[in-house]
Amino acid sequence: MNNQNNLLVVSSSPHVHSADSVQSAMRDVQIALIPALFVALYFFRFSAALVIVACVLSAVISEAATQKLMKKEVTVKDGSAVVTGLLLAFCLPPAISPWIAAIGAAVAIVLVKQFFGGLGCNIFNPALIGRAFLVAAWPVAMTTWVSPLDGITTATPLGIIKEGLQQELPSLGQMFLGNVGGCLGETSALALLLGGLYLIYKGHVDWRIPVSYIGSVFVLTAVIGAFQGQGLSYPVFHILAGGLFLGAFFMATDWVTSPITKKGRIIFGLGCGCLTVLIRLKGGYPEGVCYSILLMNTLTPLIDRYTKERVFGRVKKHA
Amino acid sequence: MSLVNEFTKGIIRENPLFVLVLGTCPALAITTSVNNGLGMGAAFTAVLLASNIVISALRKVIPDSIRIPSYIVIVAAFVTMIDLIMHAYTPALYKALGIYIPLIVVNCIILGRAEAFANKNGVGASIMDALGMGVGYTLALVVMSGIREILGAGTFFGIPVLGASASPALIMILPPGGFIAFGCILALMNKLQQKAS
Amino acid sequence: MRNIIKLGVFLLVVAGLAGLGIAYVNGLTEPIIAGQLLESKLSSFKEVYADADEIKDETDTYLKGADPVIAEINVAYKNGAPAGVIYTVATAGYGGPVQSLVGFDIESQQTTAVKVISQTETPGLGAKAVENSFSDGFKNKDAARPVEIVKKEPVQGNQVLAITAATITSKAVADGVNAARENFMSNFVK
Repeated sequence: MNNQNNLLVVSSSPHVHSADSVQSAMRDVQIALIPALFVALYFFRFSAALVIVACVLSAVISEAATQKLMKKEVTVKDGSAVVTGLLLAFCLPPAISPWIAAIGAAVAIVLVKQFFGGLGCNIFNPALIGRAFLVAAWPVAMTTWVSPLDGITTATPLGIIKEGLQQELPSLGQMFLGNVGGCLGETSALALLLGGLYLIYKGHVDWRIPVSYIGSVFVLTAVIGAFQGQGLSYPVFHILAGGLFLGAFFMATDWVTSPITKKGRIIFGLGCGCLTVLIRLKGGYPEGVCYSILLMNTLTPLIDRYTKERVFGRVKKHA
Repeated sequence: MSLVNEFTKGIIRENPLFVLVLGTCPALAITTSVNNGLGMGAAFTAVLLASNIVISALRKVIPDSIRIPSYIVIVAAFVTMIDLIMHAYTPALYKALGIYIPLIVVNCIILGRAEAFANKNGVGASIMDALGMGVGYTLALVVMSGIREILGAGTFFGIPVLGASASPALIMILPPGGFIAFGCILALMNKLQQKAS
Repeated sequence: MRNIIKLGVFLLVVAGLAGLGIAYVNGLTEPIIAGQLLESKLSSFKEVYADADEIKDETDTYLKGADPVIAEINVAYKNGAPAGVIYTVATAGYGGPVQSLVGFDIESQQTTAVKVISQTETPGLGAKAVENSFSDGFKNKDAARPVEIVKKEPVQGNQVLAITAATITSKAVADGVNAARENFMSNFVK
């Protein structure tokens, strides 16, 4: 930027400045992820630890390496790469081999974040693209699930429904605690809820996105369930299953890739919710949180544009 | 400009795919294996050679106001012939390349060379131009499909190279892998050109 | 006005010459292409039903009206009597239609083999349907029972192991086999 000082700098969101630095905000996100981290370590043990370490290390190293190569200031100390690595690890199957996880983290940082200009300039959520890349690259490894504690191959609750497997669904209570098959950080709605509430309390996350996201999934599946003659447990199952809580609190609320206006955030959450339900019920994949957020990421600039507060009065034209 | 120069410029300096960024549609679609890349490059070079010869030979005869439709008819005729010949003699390749053989008609490199080169230069220079561009495009396709085939399928020319234990990243032979590989190669080419100049 | 006619005539000549060229090449290649198509068709028929003296297209005899799945029915003759049936079926896969051949043996009332002949499935996943590791699972299945795709090692005779992470493609092939099976049961089993 040094040689362009006299040019007008147009940066993408967020434009709002506060006393928070990137560093302290990222620290709060890390704190918020701790409950889910402990649950993951408790249920999936050593394999979870391995995946998490691989992701975080790979994210930090590839961030530093690309910034060095592109002759930019190395900013790994701000903690954003750590958060990306953690979030990616949370949406990977626990039994995945660490080198695949590491490649995913490198793709997330290099391709999605640094190639687009670094922190604050990426169009898509890096962790989610990392996951989407891995799903396309190693589909078998990315859809092999193990059950908590004993590590036996199993199916996720959504997978059981999608494939019509002859397998008993876990109880809603187990799903709330996280004692089910799934990605290592997504299973426990309780732990994610704790972290999410902390972020909302700290003011890093606007309640509008998670509430409208989870709310729209609940309402839609309740209506669809009612048509199919299912009770209230059907929508509750859908909001507890899969990565909805992880996505709604930690991914969809990403400051860089979600709208900045209040109205826009509600639209964003509703869009994510509708797409998630659509993919879950009608798509080829059992889970749709990742793709629905990525699709809405592409719409973020448009949503911002049409929900901007109207400016009253007018600015005098330059003479 | 010497004839040699007409030939060499298409290979790196004015490489149709990586420098002029023309003909990207087939380049993204068919570069899933080196075999396909080579076959596409050969078919493309044959069409370009034939059309460059005919157009430069007829450059004084074709009226200026209808030159584009004339070029299209000539190119389309050659593409159809190549299409039929490939169907007859290389059925496996024909099946693999599918719709992208007829689509050579609208490959902008061919019309571009006709418009930018063949209608201004003699037959000899046009032949060299077509060969250079054809070889350059073929090389580019082979490089791209080589990268994609090795990373995405673990093979090169269908021969396993990564070893049985490594599982290749399937995404590289899927459409997104085409864009990722293409983007990275373009970035590298830009970087090298910046250094050179 | 004269100019337009001149240009029109010029284009006409160019197009005419191009047409002549194409006609010449077409004349050269047409018999080769036709021979090749026929040969590949017969050789894939052989793969699903090997033991035949003659194969006849009898779609009109056994298919009443248009069928959404079955495209062709070929009967394989051995010593002048029908011995096997080869169905050409097309079902919806993950990336588009999956076309396969299903062979039945009339005497044993079992499938002989299944071969996927054209598909646009994802490379590395659904595209594995063309490999023998998958299609061998369809060999010697009882025509009386519908085949069923399972994700774990098959335990029953009518079960076929799915391609890993490509259940939709596997089911598409099975759907085609089942459609052919129903037609076979109603026409060739007395």
